[in-house]
Amino acid sequence: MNASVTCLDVRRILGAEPQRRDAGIAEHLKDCPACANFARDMLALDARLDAAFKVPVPEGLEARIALDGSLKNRRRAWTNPWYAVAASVLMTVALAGLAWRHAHPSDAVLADAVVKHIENPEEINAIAPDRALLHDAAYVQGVMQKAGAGMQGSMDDVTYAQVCLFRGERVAHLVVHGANGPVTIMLLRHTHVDKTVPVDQDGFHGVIVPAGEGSIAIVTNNNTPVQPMEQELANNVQWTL
Amino acid sequence: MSEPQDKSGNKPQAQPVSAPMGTHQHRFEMLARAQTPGLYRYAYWLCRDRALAEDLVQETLLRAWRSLDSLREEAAARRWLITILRNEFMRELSKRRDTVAIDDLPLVDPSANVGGSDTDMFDVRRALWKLTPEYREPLALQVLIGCSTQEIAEMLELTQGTVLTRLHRARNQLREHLGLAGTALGEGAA
Repeated sequence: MNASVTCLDVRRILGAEPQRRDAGIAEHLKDCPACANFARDMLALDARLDAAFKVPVPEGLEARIALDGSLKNRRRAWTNPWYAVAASVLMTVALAGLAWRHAHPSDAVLADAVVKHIENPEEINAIAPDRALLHDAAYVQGVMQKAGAGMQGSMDDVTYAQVCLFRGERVAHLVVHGANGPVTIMLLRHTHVDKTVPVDQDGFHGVIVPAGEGSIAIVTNNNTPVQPMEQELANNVQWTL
Repeated sequence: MSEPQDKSGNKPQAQPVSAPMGTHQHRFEMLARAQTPGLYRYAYWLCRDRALAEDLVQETLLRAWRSLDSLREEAAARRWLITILRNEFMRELSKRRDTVAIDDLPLVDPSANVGGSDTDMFDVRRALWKLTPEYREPLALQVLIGCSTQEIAEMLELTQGTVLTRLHRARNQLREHLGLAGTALGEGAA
């Protein structure tokens, strides 16, 4: 047995770093069955810990953190400082315009963005027809709250609820059981529309309706009529941020 | 979702996020893709709340997006993101301190789909939640994120000796909670 590394040393070291195999430790383990057993136990424990730590990652999380073009295009590298000064003036004006445009997008841009978000490969499972009801009103309320929204009354037919990043802002992305299949509802706290915007693209149809300072997208790819939901949602939604 | 580190069974490692160096957006997407699963899991084990964990990851990556140019070495990305996420968590914790203490939360998040019906998994997770945060966090950084004890010491602003002691004690406590036989030699000697 290696006299320079004691059983106490081995257990102290492997208790903190089970994978560690310095020359002295390896030699000790070769000659000491008790410590070799201890080392195996610690590795087995770590394998269980590794599996236990790996909780499932929410479906579509990467898609929800993907940033959209309006944000990614705000950065430009300027090498000439005079260009930068001139650009800063222009940028001030342009950013003000962009900010206004961001909050007041054209109908086509907004409708396209909503459909693109729904049919994103990471989000498309949200409208799978066989999704079960969430049965967790507090969770749904929590999602809406994080997106700066609230709802008078409860929503009993929700099958999907997530906070998503949409056009650089947090929105509540909900799916409910409609009369003929899933209907997507997006509570767009930061996007204003002056009038109802029709959505008809890639097999999806619906509307984006004004709701105070924000708007609500109600979109489906089945025959569920969305119009009956418009007024109810517009009346019941409240912006909290 | 792509989780190569899980499929291979290896410890999560820092991924090459800019080889070749691309645009800001490309760098960010590579970074986010490589690090999101580990960040989410680490956040979950910090806060015990899947919705908050998701928020923490979103905030972390938004902040990373804004200051991505300050990341000089891609190999340091994991540590950089973990540090941002810890700061976000601390900020959130200080906001909530008046309303709820993290240790008052249930031992197992009943709303989280955290692994099905595997009894052993349930027992191990329950044992992990019984650890105090000062023991659980370095263990998560080591086992889940794959950090060295030196990296953990720097991230948690502790000495390496303290980290070794906490890791050792964490495993001893887990062995006790899980009813594993054997003596806990070396306690306090790290």
